[in-house]
Amino acid sequence: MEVSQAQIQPMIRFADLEFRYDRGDFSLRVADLAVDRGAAVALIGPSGSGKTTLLHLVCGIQAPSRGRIDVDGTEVSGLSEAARREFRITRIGLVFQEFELLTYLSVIENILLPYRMSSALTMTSEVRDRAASMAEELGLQEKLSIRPTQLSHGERQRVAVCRSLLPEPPLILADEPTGNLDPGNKAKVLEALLQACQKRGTTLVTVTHDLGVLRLFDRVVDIHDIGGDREG
Amino acid sequence: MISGGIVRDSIYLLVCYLGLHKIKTAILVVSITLIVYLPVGLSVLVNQSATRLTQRALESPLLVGKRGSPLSLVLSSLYFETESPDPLLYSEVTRISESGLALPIPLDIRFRARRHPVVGTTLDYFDFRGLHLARGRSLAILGECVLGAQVAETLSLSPGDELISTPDNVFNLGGSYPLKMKVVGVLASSHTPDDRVIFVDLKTSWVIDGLGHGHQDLTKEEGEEFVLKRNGDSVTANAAVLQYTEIDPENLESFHFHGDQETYPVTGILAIPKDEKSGVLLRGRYQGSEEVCQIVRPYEVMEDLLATVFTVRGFVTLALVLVGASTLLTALMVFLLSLRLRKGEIATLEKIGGERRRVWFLILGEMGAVLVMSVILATLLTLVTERFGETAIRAFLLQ
Repeated sequence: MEVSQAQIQPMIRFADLEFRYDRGDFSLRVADLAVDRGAAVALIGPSGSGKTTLLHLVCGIQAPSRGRIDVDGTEVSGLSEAARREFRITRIGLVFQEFELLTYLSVIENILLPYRMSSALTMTSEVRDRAASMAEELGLQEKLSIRPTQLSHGERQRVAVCRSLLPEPPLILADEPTGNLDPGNKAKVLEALLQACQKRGTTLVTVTHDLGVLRLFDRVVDIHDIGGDREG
Repeated sequence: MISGGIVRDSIYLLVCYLGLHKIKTAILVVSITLIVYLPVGLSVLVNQSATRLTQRALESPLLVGKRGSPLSLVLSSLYFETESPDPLLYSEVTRISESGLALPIPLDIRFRARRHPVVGTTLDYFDFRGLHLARGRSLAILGECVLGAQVAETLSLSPGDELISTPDNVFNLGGSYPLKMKVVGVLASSHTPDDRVIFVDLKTSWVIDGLGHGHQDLTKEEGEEFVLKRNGDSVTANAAVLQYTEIDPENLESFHFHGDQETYPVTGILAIPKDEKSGVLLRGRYQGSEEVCQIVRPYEVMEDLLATVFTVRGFVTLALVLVGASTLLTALMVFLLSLRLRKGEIATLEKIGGERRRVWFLILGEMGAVLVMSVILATLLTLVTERFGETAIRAFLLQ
């Protein structure tokens, strides 16, 4: 069986990366790191060590001071700001600790939000059907028409997971997705996220402080081991 | 370039946002609508009234009345809007006519019928104002009336119907009695104050006043029981004699006037000079200090009034501009606070990769939608003001 060049390449590759804020002493260096396709990776480290910054660099919210980052075969660090936005909304799904749903939209419209915010994504009836079935897969089928404020925290995070998965990105970046959840919901949401990624072959990088869930991941990366916050 | 998709999606999200913040949006829309509308509406109203007032005044060269307030004389005689000034004698009409300097058109505007002014005048008035009949015929005999277009519409009256004059005071036994008048014609609308009045012959107006009346014939045998005393041509009747309150072909002959017609009242006289020189000469005749009458040029009187109105408008507009500026600043502060409250939302949309122009279209759309709705509402209100300005002027400015 032939394996294409793209399939051989890792999903994420950092090469001689350095990031500094314009002000302050914080500095992040990653000499060499690769994340395999389809892997579920947990990124750990103390607060302020640069985990969120690393995710922002991967998805292009921030640009490195030096070095390069390749994601899914594209050099993200070399893209313009507008191109990084398009790359992000089409190729990377994001899940945040604070859910970050729009309170004036219903659950289904929050899931469909990326399609309303970029010309690179086209809203079709197929997309709407996919959104509904994805919501059903995560147990939200009864909640589609209500607003996020009427949902529990666990349900809100599942809506955020649906939103990140809808454009079928090859990579999901989750920044402490269970940080605001009670212990019962933590496991449920994380398992749902892992299952959904595994089912689709999606690579998952999750920042977490919860050491109890690390066994669920294929690989655990400690930010200190790769060079986080050397001088901070 | 902004594509249709951006506009469609942004408007959808905007509608969802505004839908959740209905009260805030409504308050902002109402505030900005009033800021825009008040100065514009006031300006429309004042300009409209100024045009109408000056136009009518320009068309009325000279006006004669009892010495007193020129404004009251003009408003009463031209616009039928205020209480009538003290009447002058009909002999003044004769005086102008005999001078040969102008055509006098007497006006007697002291009575009302169903809240509309009854204007006693001559047929010259209709020619002078260029009034045409839409239905029926013109005034021919005593007791007939012709209605202005708006009166006919408001009271749902047509030729052949009847209209009773309103007694000025039911407790004044010596005052005017209600006269049942016959509607013989309806004027075509002229969009002037003439649309809002009831025209009668001057003598009919005097009948309403009680100066002329009709009753049972006391010279005949069947009227003898009502006679108290005969003294030559003079007959004194008792209180049982039947006075007519309606003039019809049967009793028309019995209507008569007592005393000298020259001493009968009119409230004003429109004087149409033969030429400019005649006008100047006529005005000169009313300049004497012993003169009990005044002659005014209505245009000059209205110019004085409008100068006052425009000064007041200037102050009102200044006040509105100050209030508007403070309200706009408040609205701006609300928008800035809203922007601050939506900071998290903006950050989310940026982080998930939303296009910058879509993010700002959505955020600024709130302000834009409020402004657009306000301008549309203010425009509608201005159009309503323009359409019903005349009614508003009558209701609020002149009464």
